[in-house]
Amino acid sequence: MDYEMQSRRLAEIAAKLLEDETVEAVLGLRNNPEAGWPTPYCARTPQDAERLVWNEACYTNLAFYLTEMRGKTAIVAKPCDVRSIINLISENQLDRDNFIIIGIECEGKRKDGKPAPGCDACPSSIPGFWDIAIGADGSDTWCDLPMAQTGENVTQWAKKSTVEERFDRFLKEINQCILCYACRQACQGCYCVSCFMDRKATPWEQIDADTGSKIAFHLTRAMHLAGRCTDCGACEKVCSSGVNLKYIYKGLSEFVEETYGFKAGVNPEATPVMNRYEADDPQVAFLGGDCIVGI
Amino acid sequence: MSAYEMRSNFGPLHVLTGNQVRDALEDVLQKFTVVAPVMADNKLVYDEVNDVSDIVLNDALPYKSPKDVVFPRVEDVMRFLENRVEEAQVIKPVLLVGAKPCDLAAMKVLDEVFTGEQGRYKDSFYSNRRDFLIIVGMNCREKKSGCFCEERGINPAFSQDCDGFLTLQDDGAVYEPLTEKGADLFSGATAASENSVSPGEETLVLNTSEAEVFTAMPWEKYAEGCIGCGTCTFICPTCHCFNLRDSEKKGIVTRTRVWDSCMYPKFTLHAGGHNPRTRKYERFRQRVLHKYLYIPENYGCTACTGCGRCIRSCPGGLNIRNTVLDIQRRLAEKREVHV
Repeated sequence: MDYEMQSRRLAEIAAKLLEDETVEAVLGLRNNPEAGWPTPYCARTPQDAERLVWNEACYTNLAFYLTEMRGKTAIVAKPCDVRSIINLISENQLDRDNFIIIGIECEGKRKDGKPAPGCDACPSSIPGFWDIAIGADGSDTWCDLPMAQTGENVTQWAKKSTVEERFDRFLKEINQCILCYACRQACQGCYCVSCFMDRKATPWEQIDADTGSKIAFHLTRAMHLAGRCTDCGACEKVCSSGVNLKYIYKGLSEFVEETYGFKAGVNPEATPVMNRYEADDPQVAFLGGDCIVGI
Repeated sequence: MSAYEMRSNFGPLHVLTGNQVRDALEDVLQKFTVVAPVMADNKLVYDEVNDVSDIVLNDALPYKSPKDVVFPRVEDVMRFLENRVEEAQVIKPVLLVGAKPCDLAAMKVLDEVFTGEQGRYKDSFYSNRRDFLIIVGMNCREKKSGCFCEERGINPAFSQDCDGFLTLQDDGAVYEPLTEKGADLFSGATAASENSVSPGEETLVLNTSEAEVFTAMPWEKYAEGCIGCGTCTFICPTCHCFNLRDSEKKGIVTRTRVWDSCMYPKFTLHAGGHNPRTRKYERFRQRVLHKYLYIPENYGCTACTGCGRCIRSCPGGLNIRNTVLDIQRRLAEKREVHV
């Protein structure tokens, strides 16, 4: 990886897009020594573009911000951001004509000296689709770097373990959760205007962050993300309590792929798996079925 | 009264060796429930201590603030039984050891809001806990990224907003009793009190009115990165908004006080469905102005201590200090033009 060359080319491209008024804003990341890692930044003038950076700590998924932008925008997107963008397009949350993707090659980011959540299982260094390419060496061609792929095989683990072991792991993870909903806020898939947890006068609404409320929130969120999670790891990256539940979403994604042949974030034209029904769909995921996914 | 005179009322300084500090902590652990900085999941937090060896007395500022000692995140306050109502608050005397000057300043803000003379309402749930709390402050020598306590007029080396102050030294510590409650907590070789410490000057303040900044500032730009997670309000040492909720279990209704956050859209949702703060910039504006304008107007102190926690933990990179600096700059420019 040549972050310096990538940053330089990114700044050039962004400055040109803004100068030519091809876009009104470029969504990217800037250095933020006070926060301690690069944070989201919206460049609006060619001068602003110089502040955009690209380095190994640029792990934030920017897809969520794209849904809030008005006017034509360019987004700096690594493979996981593009997977999220594809998912949002397939769910009619983004208009493809309204933004330009500056695809940027990525071999995995690091957070606190370790591979960032999601990066250990990332399948490819090249974004799924793009308008402008920035390769690993800063040129406009992809290098297709070998990926570590050392992530946990959740499905294998789930099938080997007992119900008690799976439940124990889940309980252990949610123990530190304070129901702040940062994971929901950072997730590309959680865009409901009114989340089921926020509706008034429902029995599952949070009063105490007790185990029951936490189970209700995390399992419902997991079910809502089945076949929609793009394994970007944003949920674990923002969690201030160190709750690692990505394995459940990943397990569900693997189950959906195996059972229904659908993978989120691959094809923007595909009908989302939850939006289609075939009479001969496998019944394992229905009540009484024997599906095992992480819990 | 000068700082020196105030301090001399409660005895001389105590110079303690490292072992004496440990012994003294062992001793207080027998008498009180002790809350001190401890490691939990690789993060330094203020938490209840069971074993002296767990206490981390060093220069690091804990990740979260100690406000839940007096203002717990979740607290049962009353119960409605079949034909009577009973109080549900359970209180025990707590000794908070190792609170940094910024967190001590924050406690003063909470005191002002919940019990202060200018406070129009005395909050019994808060003051019940506060009355049974003894605080031993500790100096801070680590300036983290995002820390700006000095701009907020806080001296990281010393604070009088506690019952006693522990100044860590290379070997051991010096303990200064500051109130009667803190008089006999730590003892070692006595020494005379040193020079008095003057508080710094508050430079990061907003001398303005709501009318001047409410619409004139680029709030939308300031709040661009916000994802609405509310982390800033949960780890803030002075954020104190709460909600009261009733829940029923087996015929007994319990009223619970829980933290709330102005960064959530639901915070201002009215019963009729109207919401005056639907946009994220409106919510961020409320947070900044509440700290730097409304609390100063109502209580005479600014509700930001410069601990930098919100800056370090914001996933979107929002920065309250830069926001206030930018507002100051814009106001100064505007005033120059008018002159």
